[in-house]
Amino acid sequence: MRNSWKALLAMAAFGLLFTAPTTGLAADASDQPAATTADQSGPSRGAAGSKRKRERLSVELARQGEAELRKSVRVFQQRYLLKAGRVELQLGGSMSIGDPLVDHYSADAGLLYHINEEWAVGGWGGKPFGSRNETFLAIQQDFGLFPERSFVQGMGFVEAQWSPIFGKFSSFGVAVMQMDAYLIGGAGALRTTITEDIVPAGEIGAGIRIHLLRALTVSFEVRDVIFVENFKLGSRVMQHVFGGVRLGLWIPPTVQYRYQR
Amino acid sequence: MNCRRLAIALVAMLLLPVLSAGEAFADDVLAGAKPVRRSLLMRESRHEVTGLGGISLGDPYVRNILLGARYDMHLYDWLSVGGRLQVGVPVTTETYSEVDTKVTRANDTFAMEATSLRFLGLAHVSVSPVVGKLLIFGKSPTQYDLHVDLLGGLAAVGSTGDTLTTGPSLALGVGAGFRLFFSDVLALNLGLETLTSDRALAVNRDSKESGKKLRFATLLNIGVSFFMPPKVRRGQ
Repeated sequence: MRNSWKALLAMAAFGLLFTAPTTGLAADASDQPAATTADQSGPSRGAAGSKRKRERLSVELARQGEAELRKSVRVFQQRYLLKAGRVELQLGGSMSIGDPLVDHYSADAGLLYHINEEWAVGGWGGKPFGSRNETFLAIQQDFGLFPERSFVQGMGFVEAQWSPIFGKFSSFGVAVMQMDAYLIGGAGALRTTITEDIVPAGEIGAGIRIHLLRALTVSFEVRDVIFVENFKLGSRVMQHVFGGVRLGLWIPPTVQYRYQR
Repeated sequence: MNCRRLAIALVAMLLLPVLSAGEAFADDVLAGAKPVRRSLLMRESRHEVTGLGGISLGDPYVRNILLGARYDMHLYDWLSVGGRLQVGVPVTTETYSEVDTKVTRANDTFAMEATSLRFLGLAHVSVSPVVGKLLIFGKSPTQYDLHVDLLGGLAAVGSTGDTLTTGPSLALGVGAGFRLFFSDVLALNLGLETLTSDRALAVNRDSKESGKKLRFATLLNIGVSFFMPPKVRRGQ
């Protein structure tokens, strides 16, 4: 990939070398008749008119050159959304997956700073709303048992995000969009209905970020929140797997490419 | 529980407007040109055989380990029809043991019993609305797709005891999957499905069947696919 970019840059440089002397020669060639005309018909009006004409031609040539360049197909497509040095404000929600006895729905918000195109660091917080599900109630009714409830009340994490996968996709050939996929690891704390104190927790996860606009993305994520719960009958490692969606608002909203193509 | 499935469906539906936006490349120099040209038709007019291993999620009493195979005949690059056979191996959960122990303390005659999915025979129609390629670690491009499956067939309900009703049940479902191509003939297949079956989950404290109804089971499948013929064509 890097070699290919070098080759592309070399071709662009070669193009510049080729076009610059040509323009120079054209200017030189037009200088000659202008000087002759000036010598023959007086100094002022003819020379000024010729100069303006040269300038117009130069501008026109530059415009045509740029247009030709734009028509050419890029070998490597530019990334539509650049992440390096930008902040992503995340807003979204998630719900617990695969928990047999309780359901959690959570409102989430986070802030990420993207160090480069692959790495980001940041933090997020969530306010889960827990409830007993049908199975929980069935255990109470069918067996006369009353399982101890543990609902997560609030959680917050600092995390690192690694994005080794970048790609694009289309739907029935209608449109092409870009995406990246990432892994998440973090540490933080949470509070449950059983443990009133704040307890340490960890998280691992993965997600896919779809680049909608240069200032807007949508991410689909799965996070496994792990902590130790102190039930009356003893401590137990708990895992709450949350699946969710987050909108990402990017600051600054525009991107600046290092190279035009 | 139903709210959760509705939410899953809504999230999946979010993808469609996202894809139809197409605004991302409005200022591209190739604006107006056909967005996808000479794409690799990884699926069209090919047969796919997948070896499957799966597990049911969120089961309170018995987890189902499902092993089997799936076949797809890809009519177009975006559409396939096929079927699958999977055999279920029941594994009881910690909750099952806890209920058994605690209820037996109060009632000596109680014996815990719960149902499981012993066999699945399903036909499916699969649509791939999202196809693309990705780079892993910035190297070799890899083709992938997301597909949505509609499932229908029979599920054989089994039990860990003799009290609960067992036998075949109508199974209808919907699923979503991700297929990642390692080569022209080999792909990794991940799928998440929800499937109905008419059954009671377990006996009650009187060791009698309770709450028999149409229930959803969520299944996570992973498989390796082989494609034939090995040659991949290109689109226009």
